[in-house]
Amino acid sequence: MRPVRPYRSVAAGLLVTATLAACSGTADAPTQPSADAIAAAAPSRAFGIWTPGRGDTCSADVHDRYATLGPDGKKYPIWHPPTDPVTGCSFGHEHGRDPRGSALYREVGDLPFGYANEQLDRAGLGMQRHEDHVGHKIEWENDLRIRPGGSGGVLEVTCDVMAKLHQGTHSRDAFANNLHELNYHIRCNDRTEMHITMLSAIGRAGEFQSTCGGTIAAGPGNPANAPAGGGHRRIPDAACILNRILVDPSRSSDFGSLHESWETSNEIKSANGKRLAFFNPYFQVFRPSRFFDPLNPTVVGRPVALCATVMGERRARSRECDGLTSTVNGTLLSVDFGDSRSPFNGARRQVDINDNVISNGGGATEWYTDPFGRNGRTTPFPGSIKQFIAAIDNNYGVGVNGPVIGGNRVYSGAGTRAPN
Amino acid sequence: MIPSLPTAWRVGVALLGVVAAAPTLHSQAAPRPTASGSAPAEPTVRGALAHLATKYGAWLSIGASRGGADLFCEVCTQDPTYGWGLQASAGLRLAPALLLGVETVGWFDVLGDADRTVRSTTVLLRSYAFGRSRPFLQGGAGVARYRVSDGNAGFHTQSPALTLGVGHDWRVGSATVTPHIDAVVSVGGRLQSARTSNAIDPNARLALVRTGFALSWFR
Repeated sequence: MRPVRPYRSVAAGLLVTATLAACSGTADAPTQPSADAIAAAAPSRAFGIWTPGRGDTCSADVHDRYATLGPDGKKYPIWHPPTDPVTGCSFGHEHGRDPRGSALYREVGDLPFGYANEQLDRAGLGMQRHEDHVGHKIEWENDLRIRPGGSGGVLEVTCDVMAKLHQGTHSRDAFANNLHELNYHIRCNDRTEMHITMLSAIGRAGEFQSTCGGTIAAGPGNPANAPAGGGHRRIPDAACILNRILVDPSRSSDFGSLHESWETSNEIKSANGKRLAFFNPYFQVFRPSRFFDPLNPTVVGRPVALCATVMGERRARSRECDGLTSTVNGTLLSVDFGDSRSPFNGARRQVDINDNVISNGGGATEWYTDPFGRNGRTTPFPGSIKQFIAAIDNNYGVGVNGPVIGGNRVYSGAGTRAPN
Repeated sequence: MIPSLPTAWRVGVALLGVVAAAPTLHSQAAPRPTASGSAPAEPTVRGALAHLATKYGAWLSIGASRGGADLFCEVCTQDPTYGWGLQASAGLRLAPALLLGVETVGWFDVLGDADRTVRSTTVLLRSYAFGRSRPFLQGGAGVARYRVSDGNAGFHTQSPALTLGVGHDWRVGSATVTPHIDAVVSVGGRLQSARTSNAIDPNARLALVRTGFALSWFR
């Protein structure tokens, strides 16, 4: 056995120290790009698009400090708290749960908002799709317990899961547009593991499902040639909710009908069409700040305005409207839809973690797909996105429905308001 | 020979056949003198066992038990469930205080929302450790299978297993009543979906502990 030479130990120690000093990561955090590297990087289309609105006290400069580099070397916006901890200013919007608490954060890092959208520009598929900033919503849970069907309580799979969907619920965008960026990360103790970034095609472009049932045509989608996907976007429309919210004196308003459920159905496929992975989380928003109103020139109705809407005997009758109306010159008026006092701000959400099926036994774990999760290859190509899929087959022949995450959290507060 | 069955099953079937074919069953648990030194009638496993049975004696046991079973693995809840069991064993006497046999155990927890079952088949040695006394210690090795199903889907695992047990023979009339405590522990195997055969865990271990009574006959 060769003796350990002291100078080699010192050199090794210095090397470790120097390496640690060069990275801003810690034992629990991924290595972060330096501020200088981010400043020098080219901006993505998603970077720098947020500007403060009335009541927002943070500047765009403060906002743009929350950034990271994407795999393409461009800079992208990332999660930030509703209130900047350094300056104390308010952004007026939120992105859900702080990803730094996720057990997956160390390897996933900051999610670059808009990376899949950016890759679509380069994919040569003849379409573009860019989304606003405030719609990026993160949810995660550690040690989520899922009991497989047929296991009689004997088996329980434990998972860490983190999901981010661009789920804007303040504008007309999702009435007709079915492509929304989805980041989906899951790791379970049955060896299930996926790290997916894609544009999820949720239902069909140009239409959505009414909360009360039925398909509503909502005009051309953007892009017009967006592929159709499984699932659907269930969104309240005027015909559905007006009868439930504007009620006669004998009834109470049903504001629970102001509920959006975007039920995704996602596949990752290889170039030869083999399905490598399937997952179908449902993203739900309670009290969004919009509903579909075809009689409105903007086709966007505002729930808070219903608090001041009177149709004969019918009007909103609920504590939801408390403090949101005032009478001016004999006219009942509601606060603006973007008022921070309004509970209709899209800040109450939950995600149903459903199936996570991997059919990749013996396959590669690193795949490059187009932004829709298709055409998967083991080598990158223009516009491709790197995905990780564990080399297992975990189809047990039973479906998993509905462990819910985020349902007990509310992200409003600290000036959060629509658009959010 | 029954070529489609595993070796443990083949030996077990042969032993059961030998015992069933024996002309008389004696109630004595104590060792009996060796019989004739006649050669086996045919050069087969069954023939050899028949020869040993004639020379040294044979035994047969059936019984019922109550016990708990649990799975141990990454995705296992490790909450034991309890059910009833049945077992049958048969074998030969190798020496005055040493028995060789094969035991098959079935354990059933089928009255709840899901069916959980254990089947094990082991080759075992039983030692009456204190000479002519009735308490015994036994151990063995074989195969154990655990299955859980809700009627719609299920999972199962099968792997080599070890058994260990203690008991006591009480002579009652022409038979012997044997209270016993046994444990079956598997060494770990693939826990897989009954529908797709995909493994949810590559290394699930089973533990079954049960206590019960058996009726035994010795020839």
